[in-house]
Amino acid sequence: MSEKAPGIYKPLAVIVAIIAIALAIWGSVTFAAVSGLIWEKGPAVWSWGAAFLSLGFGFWRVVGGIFWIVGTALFIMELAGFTIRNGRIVRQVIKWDSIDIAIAALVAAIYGGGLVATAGLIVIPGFTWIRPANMLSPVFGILFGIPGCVGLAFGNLIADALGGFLGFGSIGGFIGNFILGYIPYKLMKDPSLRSSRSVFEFYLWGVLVGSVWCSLYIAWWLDLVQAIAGLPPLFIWGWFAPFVMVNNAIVTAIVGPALAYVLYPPVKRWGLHWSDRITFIEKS
Amino acid sequence: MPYWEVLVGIGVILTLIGLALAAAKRRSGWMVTLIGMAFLVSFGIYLALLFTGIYGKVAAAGYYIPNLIGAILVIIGIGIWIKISKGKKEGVSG
Repeated sequence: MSEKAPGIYKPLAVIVAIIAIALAIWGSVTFAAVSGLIWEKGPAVWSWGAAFLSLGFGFWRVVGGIFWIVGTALFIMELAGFTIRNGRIVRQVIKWDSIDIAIAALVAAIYGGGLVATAGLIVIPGFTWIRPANMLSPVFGILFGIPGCVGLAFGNLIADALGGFLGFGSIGGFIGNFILGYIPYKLMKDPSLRSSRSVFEFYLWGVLVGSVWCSLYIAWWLDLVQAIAGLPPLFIWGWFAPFVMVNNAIVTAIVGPALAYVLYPPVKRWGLHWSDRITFIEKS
Repeated sequence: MPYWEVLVGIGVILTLIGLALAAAKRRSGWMVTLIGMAFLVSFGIYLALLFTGIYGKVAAAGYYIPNLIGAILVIIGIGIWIKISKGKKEGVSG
């Protein structure tokens, strides 16, 4: 997997890693500075909230809608036993034997348990909290593939129930967390974290794109069902969406690559890696 | 939790569809069943916490039980991981 990558990936990996870490730290620090004022004065007191709101609800509803439709289509396609491979839709065979079920269960337990362990650090009551366990999502996605992604979705639902956040928004959170693992799983060509290309791909797909996609997916869903879920659009797009991006990215950017680096060899050696457990049926 | 019937309904429908697909030897049936079960298990957790009076009281006023359950879940998950990796090392196929 970790074949010699072209030299271009080394500077790209450094640049994308710096951008991802800097954005996540900047978002976290600026959020922490005004978090106590947001309910009182509105999301615009946070620079990220103000930037998001400056683009208007219409912009986010269109962009979020695109992410939501594509994300839901991918989720349903995987559910139906199909996937995209080399630009084509192909059938895939996941065994769903005792090992795959055990993988989904272990991911759900570790991710859900890890999330709920910090569930007291509430940011938006009833909607989200500070979640360092989010760093596990791209790692489990690239290690275990679809069983891992199902485990992430399950784990998020368990955390919602245990943490007191279970509600209509949890449906969006279910697929949103599936996507958080699915994007790096599908788009990283080298999951070993042992080449500059692999590091570049992790930061691009696992940290940046995954965090943005998951955030916009859930935010758009909350906007769609706002009459039931109860969070006004001002807070969805000015607070929830940017905060979830930062919350997903911050620990993932700092700890995620090291975790994937350590876990990849034993998972591969034991034959638990998704590439050793899945069969693609490609018609010639 | 408002509209809990929706979450239970999704859980029941997905579980039944999944079981029907599995009975028809469609492998994706187990994945659908698992997702349906996820919704039902989550609702079960919600009900259990509701009846014990600690739903939504995480880390507030000394209610650390959900956080403790989370820590126990992490340990269980690591235990499952160790068990399946040992099984794989010993050559037991799934």
